[in-house]
Amino acid sequence: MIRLENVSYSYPGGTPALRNINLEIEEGEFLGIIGRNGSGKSTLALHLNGLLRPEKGKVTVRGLDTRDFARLPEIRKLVGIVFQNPETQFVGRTVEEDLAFGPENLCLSPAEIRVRVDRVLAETGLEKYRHRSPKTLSGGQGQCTALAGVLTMEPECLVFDEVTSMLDPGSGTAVLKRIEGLREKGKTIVYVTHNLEELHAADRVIVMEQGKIVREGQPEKLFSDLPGDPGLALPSLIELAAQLRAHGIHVPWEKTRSPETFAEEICRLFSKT
Amino acid sequence: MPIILKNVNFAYAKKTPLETPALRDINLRIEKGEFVGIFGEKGAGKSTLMKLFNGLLRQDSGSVSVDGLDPSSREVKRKVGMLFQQAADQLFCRTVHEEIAFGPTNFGFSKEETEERVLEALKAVSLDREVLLRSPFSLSGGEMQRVALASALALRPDYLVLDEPITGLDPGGKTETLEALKRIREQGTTVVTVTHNLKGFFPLLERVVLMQEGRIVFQGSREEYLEAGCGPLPPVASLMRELKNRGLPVNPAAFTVKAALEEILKAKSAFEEKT
Amino acid sequence: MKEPVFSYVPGTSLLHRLDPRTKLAAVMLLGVLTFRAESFTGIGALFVLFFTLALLSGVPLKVFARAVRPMVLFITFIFLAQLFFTEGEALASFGALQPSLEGLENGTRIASRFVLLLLFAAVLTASTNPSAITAGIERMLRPLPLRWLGVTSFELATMMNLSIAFLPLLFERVERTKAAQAARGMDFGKSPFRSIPALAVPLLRGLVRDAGELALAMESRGYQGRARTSMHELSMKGRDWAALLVLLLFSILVLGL
Repeated sequence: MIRLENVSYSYPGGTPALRNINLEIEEGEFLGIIGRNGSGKSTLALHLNGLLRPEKGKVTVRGLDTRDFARLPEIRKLVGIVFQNPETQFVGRTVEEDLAFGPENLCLSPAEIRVRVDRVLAETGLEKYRHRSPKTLSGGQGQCTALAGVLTMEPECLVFDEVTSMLDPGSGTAVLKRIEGLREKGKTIVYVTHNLEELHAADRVIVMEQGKIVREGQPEKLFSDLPGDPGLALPSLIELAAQLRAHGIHVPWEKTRSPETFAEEICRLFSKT
Repeated sequence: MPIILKNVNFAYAKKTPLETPALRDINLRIEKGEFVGIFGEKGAGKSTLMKLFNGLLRQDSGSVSVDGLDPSSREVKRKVGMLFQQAADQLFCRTVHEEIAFGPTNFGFSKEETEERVLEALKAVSLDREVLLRSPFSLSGGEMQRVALASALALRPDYLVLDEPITGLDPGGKTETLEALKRIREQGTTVVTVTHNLKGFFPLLERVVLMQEGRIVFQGSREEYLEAGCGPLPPVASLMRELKNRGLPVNPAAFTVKAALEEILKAKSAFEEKT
Repeated sequence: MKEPVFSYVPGTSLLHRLDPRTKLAAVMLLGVLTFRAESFTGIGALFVLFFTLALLSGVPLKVFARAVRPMVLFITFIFLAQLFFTEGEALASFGALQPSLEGLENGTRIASRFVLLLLFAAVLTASTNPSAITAGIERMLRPLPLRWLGVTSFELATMMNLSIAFLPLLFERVERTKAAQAARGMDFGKSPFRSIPALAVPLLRGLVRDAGELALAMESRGYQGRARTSMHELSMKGRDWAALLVLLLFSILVLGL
């Protein structure tokens, strides 16, 4: 879907943010990108639909080069980004108008825009907020609106840049569920975060440090051999599972997802003995 | 003397068609030397509540007192240090030194006194003296947050009130800030934090206040909160609760990995003895 | 928390269904009319028109009151200035201040005009989706040779939309910064020179960042400042022309009064 070849980038007057990145994002995959602040993970995300263009190397989206200005509208139709701060990504004064912004830029007909907006409003359960200002919504609803505003463009790939970092855990979980739902529908998902817990369902995770990809693998493998890195706190349930393993209690990876599945598994293990 | 709120009510846009009640019948007592966490969803009234402590907002009815004083007095502004969400946004000086000295200078302390306070505050947040002459904007997110913290500490507040102090920081920045807060509390300052980051704050808290739709629905010690299980829990504590609900003899007040491990192993041997 | 002063109230009334261009033209015409109408009968007729429109729109009256409220102080000031400083037959005497009959008439006229202007604008904004207004303006501007000025009507429309959307964000930032610096003991009244940078620097930094983030989000969603469409279909229908005709007749009537 997206291919990065020897991509390097530095901000004007700054230190290099990306150093020689090579990455292939497959169709339909859920890719997690993790790293501390300043590791280059957000810079990488901005490269995925040509908001930033590489200084060296190239980024192609289904074969379209992001340095080719004429192809940018097409690229942005394919790859949508949801950003961290719900407050600064709304353009419309009502939820409905905000959802229409993308399709309006695609120069769709008013009737087609209506159809898309209404459909996405129904899908995301935002109908009742249709005429509300997106700024008056709660954090969770706000991020849901931001996502909806990207969905009306009907992209194939969605990039999420630390979308839960301002949310309370409840809303964060809800947003994450929605994202996993999109993946079921075959969308390609790129999820940038510094919270390992959120990458449980990812197919593949890359770890970034100082503009480089320093590790890559399935979350299960990756989490089990991450050293005690203070910048990347290991989810406590996974840590607990690792410690239980040393005492002969094996809670498999899939069950460490939530306290409920974890507890179920422990009870099952105990009743077996 | 503590912070005491009695039967406090507050509404925004009072006496207009848009009146929205934000706090209803709040009774709260924050003792000196506690580490208090105020939890609740967005819109539960947490941030409104904290603004009553130093007179930024005034209650419609009921009473608020800080060490027996009215919160609108200037003395209370010094007693109650306050940091809002994304506190690093409020930095504005050319150097970290000026930034931390801003508060003491506003209160008219002498040069020597200010200097002493700056160094003391810097030490409290474990920043190196060499950052004093640097621009606050050249620092990392966690460091900026600690400079903001130091700028509040330079007034030697008796109470430090914080709104989401670790939201938006990366795990490293979170740990640094939490460690600084822990030390501040150990040195005798009362710390009150509004937060939804249960996992990070839980090990530090002594008391928990849970808010819902402008009301306080729970207040008590951390252990009581875990026993009651009435609000959101950190992951390990919710695991313990799940296990207990499924009939395992575990203590629901365990919330660290270490404690949970012990509880589960204990439950296992109890189970094995039985069978 | 705060509802905007000129807010849209969704509905399906005749007024809601009119093309935004009709309503924009109407408000412009009524604006001119308001300042042309000299007689009190004319002004009275305009008030009657407003109430008719308000009834037609089905929008609660308090929404219109909200549009006038922030200006009440200003309007009162103008009224009083006219009342006391217009030469003419004295009505009473308070020392140096002598309210005159001419002043009373002038004051009432001017105050009524401001109120009417606000009310008609509120009818437009209450019955028209904000972006439909911008879409209407954009369409009206499109024939103008704006290209010479280096902008397109699309850019202008988006700019209008954004500046309105950005205002609440700005106010919120001001409030937040004020509260944060007050908590650090800043006293604006006592030392404004120290306080100005303490407010301005965080505000500017914040705004620059907000604007940057917003620009990225817009670009990411395909915004290029070139031609775009609008969700709001604009088409002048029979009822639009009828409304404009009625208004024109009304204008002639008022000017005649």
